[in-house]
Amino acid sequence: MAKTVTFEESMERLDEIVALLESNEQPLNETIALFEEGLRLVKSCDAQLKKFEARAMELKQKSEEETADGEY
Amino acid sequence: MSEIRIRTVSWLVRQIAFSVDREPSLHNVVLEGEVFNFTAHSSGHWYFSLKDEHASIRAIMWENDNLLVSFQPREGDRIRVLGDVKIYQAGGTMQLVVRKMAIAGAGDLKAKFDALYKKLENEGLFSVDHKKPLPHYPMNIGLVTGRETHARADVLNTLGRRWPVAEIFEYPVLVQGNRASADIVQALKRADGAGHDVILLCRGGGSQEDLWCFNDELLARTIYAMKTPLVTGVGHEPDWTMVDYVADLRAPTPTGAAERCSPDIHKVYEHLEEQRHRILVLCDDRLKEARMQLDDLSGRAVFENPLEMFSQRRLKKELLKHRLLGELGSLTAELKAELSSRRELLSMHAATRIRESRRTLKETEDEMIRLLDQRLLEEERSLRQKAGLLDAYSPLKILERGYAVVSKNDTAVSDAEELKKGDRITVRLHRGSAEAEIQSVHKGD
Repeated sequence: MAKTVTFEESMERLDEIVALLESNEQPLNETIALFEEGLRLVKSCDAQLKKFEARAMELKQKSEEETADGEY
Repeated sequence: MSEIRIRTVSWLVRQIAFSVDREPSLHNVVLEGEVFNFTAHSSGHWYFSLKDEHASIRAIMWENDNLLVSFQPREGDRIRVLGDVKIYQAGGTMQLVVRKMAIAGAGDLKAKFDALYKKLENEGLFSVDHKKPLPHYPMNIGLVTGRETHARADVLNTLGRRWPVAEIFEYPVLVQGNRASADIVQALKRADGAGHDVILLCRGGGSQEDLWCFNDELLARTIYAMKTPLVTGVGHEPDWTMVDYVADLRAPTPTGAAERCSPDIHKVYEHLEEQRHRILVLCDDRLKEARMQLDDLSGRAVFENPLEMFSQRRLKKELLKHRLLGELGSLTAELKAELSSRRELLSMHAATRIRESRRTLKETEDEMIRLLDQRLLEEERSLRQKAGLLDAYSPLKILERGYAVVSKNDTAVSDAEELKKGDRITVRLHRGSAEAEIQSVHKGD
C-alpha cells in the first residue's frame, strides 16, 4: 500500500505542532515553519472532512434510491 | 325432572376447591414458565402470571414469601417456582400460590459461564495489555450484527449522526440460537481480513439464553486473535457476555458501541478551529516577543544617540591627556629637583658633567613626551576604531551624506544660543575639518 498520510495521522501531527508551539522552545524560523505546517494541516483536515461528508451524503442518497427501486 | 338438584355457586366452587386441595399432584408443584403481567402490589404481595407456548396460569406470592427472593422478576423472565394450586372462591378462579422462586436454569448457565470465564482468564484472553487502542477517526468501520435488527438501526443512526464520514461495511449474522456463534466467528474473520479501522459486534437486549451464543469459547478465541480493534455492544447495561471481556472495548449497548468508536464530527470541526486559533495566537505571541527583543536592542544608546557616545569618548580622551600631562609634570619636577640637588653637589665638577646631565634630562623629557604622544596616538586610534564601529552602525554616515558637526572649544554645538559673532568654530566634515569664524547668529529654530 502506498504511504499516504491518513486523516488520523494528520490530526495527530496537528496536535503535536500545537504542543511544540506551546512549549516555545524552537528558534523563530522553525516556529514560522511549524506555524505554516499547522495552518496547512488545519486546512487540509477540514477539506478532507468536508470531502468525506459530501461523499457519505452521496453514497447515502444512492443507497436510498436503490432501496426505493427495490434493487437492495 | 324433579330429581334434578339445584346447587349454589358457592357449593360448586367449594367442591372444586375441595377436590383441588385433596389432589396431591397439585401441591408442591415445581414448574418453569415465563412471567407476564407482573405487579408488585402496595400490600407487598406479588401478582403475576406464568405461561408457556400453550397455556397460562395466574399466580400470587405473599409478601412474607417474596421477601426471601433475591430478585424481582421482570416481564419475560423465565423463572422456576414451587407452590400449590388454590381456588379463590370469591372469584371462582384458580391460582398458583408460589412459595419459592428462582431464575430458570440460572444455576446451570452460570456454572458454565464461570468455568469458561476462569479458563480464558487464566490463559490471559482478558488481559488489559492485549487490548488494542481504538482509532480516533475511523474512516472504515465493519459492523457485525443481525440483519434488519434494532441494534443495526441504532448503530447506523448513531454513526450517521456523529460520524457520517465513515464508510460502513455490514456483516449480517445470526445473533441467537445454536448456529449463531459459528456464524459470528466466520463474519469476524472476514471482517478482520478486510482492513477496517475498527469492527463493531452488536446485538440488542435479550434474556440470558438469547445472549448465550456470545459466551462461546471459539468465538472468544477468534476475537482474541483479531488484528483489528473490536468494540462490543451486546444486550443491555447489566449484561456481560464472554465477548465483552475479550473485546478491546465493551459498550453497554449497540448505541453505546457506535458512540465509543466514533468522534462527534462537530467536535472535530471545533477542535480544528480551536487548533487553528491556537496556532495563530501562539505565532503572534512569538513574533511580538521577537519584535520586543529587537526594539530593546535598537533602543540602546549606541544606536539611539551615537554622537553623544562619541563626545563622551572625546571627554574621556581629554581627561586622560590631562592626567598624563600631570604625571609628566610631576615627573619632570622630580627630575629637576634631583638635578638641582645634583647641581649643587656637582657645582665644583666639570661643566661636561653638567652638560651630560642636561642631555640626560633632555633625553628623559623627550622620552616622556614620546611616550605620551604614543599613548595619545593609541587612544586616538582605538577611539577612531570605535568611532568607525559606531559609524558602521550608521549615524556617522550622516557625515558621509554631507552633514557636519560644529564644535566650539571641543564641545559639539547644537544650539545657536551657544554662539556669538566672531566665535571660532571647528566644522567637522566626513573627511577632515575646517576652522571658521561666525559671521552672524540666528537664534531659534
